[in-house]
Amino acid sequence: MNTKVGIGLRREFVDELAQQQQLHPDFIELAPENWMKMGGYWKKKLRQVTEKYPVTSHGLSLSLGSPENLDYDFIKDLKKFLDENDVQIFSEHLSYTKTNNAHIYDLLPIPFREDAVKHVASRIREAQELLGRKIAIENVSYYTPVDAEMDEADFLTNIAEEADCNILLDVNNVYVNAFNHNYDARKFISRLPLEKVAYIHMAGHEQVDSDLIIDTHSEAIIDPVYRLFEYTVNRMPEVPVLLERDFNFPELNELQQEMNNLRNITEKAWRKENANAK
Amino acid sequence: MRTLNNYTENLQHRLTEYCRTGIPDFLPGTNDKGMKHYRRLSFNIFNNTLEQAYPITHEYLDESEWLELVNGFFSGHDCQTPLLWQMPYEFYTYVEENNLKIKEKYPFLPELLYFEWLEIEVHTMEDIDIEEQYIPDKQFNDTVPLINPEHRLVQLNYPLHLKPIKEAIRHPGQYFVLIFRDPDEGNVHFINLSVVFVFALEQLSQQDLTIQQLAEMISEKFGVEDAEKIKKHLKSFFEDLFTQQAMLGYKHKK
Ligand SMILES: [Fe+2]
Repeated sequence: MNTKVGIGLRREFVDELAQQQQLHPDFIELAPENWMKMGGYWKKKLRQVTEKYPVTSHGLSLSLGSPENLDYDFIKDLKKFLDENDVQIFSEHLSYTKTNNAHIYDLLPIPFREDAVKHVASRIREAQELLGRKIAIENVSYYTPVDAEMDEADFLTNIAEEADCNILLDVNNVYVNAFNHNYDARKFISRLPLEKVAYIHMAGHEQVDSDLIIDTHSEAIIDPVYRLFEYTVNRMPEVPVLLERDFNFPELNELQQEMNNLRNITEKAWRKENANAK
Repeated sequence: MRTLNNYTENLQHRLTEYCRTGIPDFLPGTNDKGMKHYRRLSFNIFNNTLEQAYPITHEYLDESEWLELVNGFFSGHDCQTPLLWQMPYEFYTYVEENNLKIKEKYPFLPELLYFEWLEIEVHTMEDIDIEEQYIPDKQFNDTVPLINPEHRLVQLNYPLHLKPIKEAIRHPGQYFVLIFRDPDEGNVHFINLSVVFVFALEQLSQQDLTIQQLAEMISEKFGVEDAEKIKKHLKSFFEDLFTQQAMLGYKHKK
């Protein structure tokens, strides 16, 4: 599944994707937790879409960064879901959503500390073994560090190397974090083991203050993020690229246009001939 | 084989505790603005998900009562499900099981939440296969009504399925409801039942019974002499269920 541009599946445009009128992604990404253990109406809708497109999955609740043990029952259900839907890439956030046996369903920042590297890497290894597939871990937007011993680039790199996992590089998150924490986004990217990047996310965000951007997935991708994307894809091998849009939906042709933009940039960088963007 | 230091683990717990309670905790190496963002965002996830799941309850309560309830749940209950869409069920059980002051003011609150949750549950419950051969349109004397398995049969103390909430709470009583989803569109429907038909459906869920057998059981249980009349009522009851797709047809008795 190379040089492909996909879109995150939302209930708001599930019918459109099933009918293939205005949106023409090469694949779709879905959050397993939003569809698992569901029958009825939504199961039917999901089937209509998964019959038409290849599927990647972006997990929400595995909580790779939690202090406690993995949730083995959940992993069993998750594996079943990934197998049933023939999921080609499975990614999760480098964060935690649960401590003391309580979910809070939000992506919290893991302290960038030595012991956390070892701990999280061992959990990723275990999860990969149980799921029978590699996990691509995503660099998340974070709004505060927590007593850090290293910076984010080292934290991500060390974990990816120690866990022998892949990376989902969210270019918008790099931009957001670089802005919020005052570092150079390009330098950040050039420090990563880009050969481990198996998948890219692109999205829009919202600047809420002169010194704060929030990663909302509610706006169009802005030009500086396109440029950072171009910078990135010129330095790495071909991987699938996903457009994330979760709120404040525009006309669907605008989403298609964003996918076209991404496709054009990747085709230039990865010199593909099939420049037949729709 | 612990790899995480107590110190780091404690930092992580303190951040989640702060998110859940909103009580400021000055964690080393954090910034205030970012911390507040996490509290706001995580609370909103709970609040929005619960508002969507419980629109009637949310609308009925004062905003401050609602927020107090959500805050109490977020800080006081350890959510077990990894699936966010199932989290509202835990909210209902939290209200049901805990001694909350708000239940003195609104004794019907747990039932209202239960009722709203049931609609989600029936809409989303996993598909149930019907393996048996059945006859979708004809009834025979030796056949048994095949009830749509994607249903719940419940008893309520208020007619929440019949009247708007403000009226329903003025009519406490004993109500029976069949809640099911239709196989075509997956929409959820409610049917108000009399106690006799509840009895019939309960018997059917335990064993295969023909309408004749059901009529005899009802006649004995409720002391009604005229079994033929009961049979007639049963037939029209099942015809009605069939039209509404709460019943799928008839199957041969095993
Ligand atoms: Fe992302």
